[in-house]
Amino acid sequence: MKRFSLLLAIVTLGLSACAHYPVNRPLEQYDTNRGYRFQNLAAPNNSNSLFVILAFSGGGTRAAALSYGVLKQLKELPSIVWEGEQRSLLNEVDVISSISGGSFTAAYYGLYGERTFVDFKDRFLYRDVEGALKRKLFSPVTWVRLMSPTFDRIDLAAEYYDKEIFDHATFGTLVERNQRPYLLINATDMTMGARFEFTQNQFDPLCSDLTSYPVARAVAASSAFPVLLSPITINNYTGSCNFREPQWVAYALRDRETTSRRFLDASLLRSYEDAGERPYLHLLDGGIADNIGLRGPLQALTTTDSPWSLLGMINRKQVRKVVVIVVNAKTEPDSDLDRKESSPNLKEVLMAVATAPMDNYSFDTVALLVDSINQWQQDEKARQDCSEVLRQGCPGAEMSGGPLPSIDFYPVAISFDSLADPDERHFFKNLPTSFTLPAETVDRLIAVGGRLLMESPDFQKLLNDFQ
Amino acid sequence: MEFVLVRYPEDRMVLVDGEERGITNVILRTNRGTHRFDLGEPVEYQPESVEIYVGGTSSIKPREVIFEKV
Repeated sequence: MKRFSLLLAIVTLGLSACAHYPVNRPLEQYDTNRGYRFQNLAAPNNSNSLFVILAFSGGGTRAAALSYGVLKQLKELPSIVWEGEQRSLLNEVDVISSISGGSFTAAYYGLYGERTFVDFKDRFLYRDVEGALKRKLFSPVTWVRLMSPTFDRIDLAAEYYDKEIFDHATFGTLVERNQRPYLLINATDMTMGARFEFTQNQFDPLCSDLTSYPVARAVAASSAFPVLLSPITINNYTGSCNFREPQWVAYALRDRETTSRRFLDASLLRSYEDAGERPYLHLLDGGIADNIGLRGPLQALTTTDSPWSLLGMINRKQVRKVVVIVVNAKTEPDSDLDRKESSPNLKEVLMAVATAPMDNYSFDTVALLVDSINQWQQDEKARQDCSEVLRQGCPGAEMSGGPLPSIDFYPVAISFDSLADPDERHFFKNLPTSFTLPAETVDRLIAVGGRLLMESPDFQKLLNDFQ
Repeated sequence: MEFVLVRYPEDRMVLVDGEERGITNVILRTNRGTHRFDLGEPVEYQPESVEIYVGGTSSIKPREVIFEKV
């Protein structure tokens, strides 16, 4: 009996020692002409001049189904006429930035395109993913693997997504597919509390090659909700690939404007270049840093620092219309806390602590997008007005530099708050955040996603402007 | 948002911090802070590059950066 126990212990230890998360590979040579980057993707059926960004929030299957409903509606729209050609608005989508549950829809569409509308519902939305993951936890082999310090619950989830949903696709598959939309699958750098996107630009300072990295692991990181799931670990090989830091980083650190986003972003990037302090990164759910996936697009729209600076494209007169569709699956479950005198329990307190800051930040992020667009339009108008006053006083005179490149903006916010019917709104705002929902609920979410898009006044304005 | 007008006798690409982010003689938008401005090839202009802090500009009064042909 003792021998058997010893043998079992040895086998257990051996098996657990074998369990290790799939390691991201080092990058041999830094090269901006290679890898998963916006500028390296072709856009055969996509015009740059109409630039469409989709942002998919977190929220488990609820968020995945709502964002799928929006994609499906875009597909079903009649063609639009742009630059004299019939075009599909869905094919005009340039970037999808996603968080957590929304990352499943974004990644699937990025990998499989129109096939998404054939099998994504069965492969993910209708699936009891949560149940499948729980069943895996009951396997003795899993217990042994989880004893390893380098294999955790999130690695188990990533394996499942890799096999059952994403067919072992890597970012190399996306590079080979070579078309837009460009995906920004967002996670959170746990130490810095900052957004971490799965793009080669983000992997460059780590001297790591994203090409061989499974898309499923990026999606798993994006949806690694704290406590329920463990963080994903990434190895940092910085200093081994002749990485050249973007020029703006040194300027931002020298300016040291500590209240500016630029300084924060530069400090973050520089932190990855310290192999001594950060040989490993641990990534959590993207919702911790930005639960609607809009921060990356905002950086592109308001700075020339972003690797895919939309501002730069506008400056070069490449873009004339910008559409940003934010699909926010935020809920607001009923609460009876304020009807009771007794103090809320620990679970209730933890829920409030976990969700309130995320919701507030999401609100502020959408407000920041709208404010930025308003400011943009005011700047344009101020220059036009000034030019007109100048011409009145001095006919024929022109302001040097001419007019600002003119842009039409369409910020479209999709959320359950827009539903007019209180019962319907109540239903959707009380859905749970989980990776399993009844098929009927999934169907309702898909339908309401499409309907909310069509009912959005800003989206209607966009469609009217194409006529 | 900040505004910069890069002047040059010809139409050229403008590089902001080493990246193609604008064109000459058309106002470009950028974010506040220090930036380096260069022109696209051929390098027949001077100065070689201009490094300035861009802040406090407006769409009516952009910061001007002047390159001359040599």
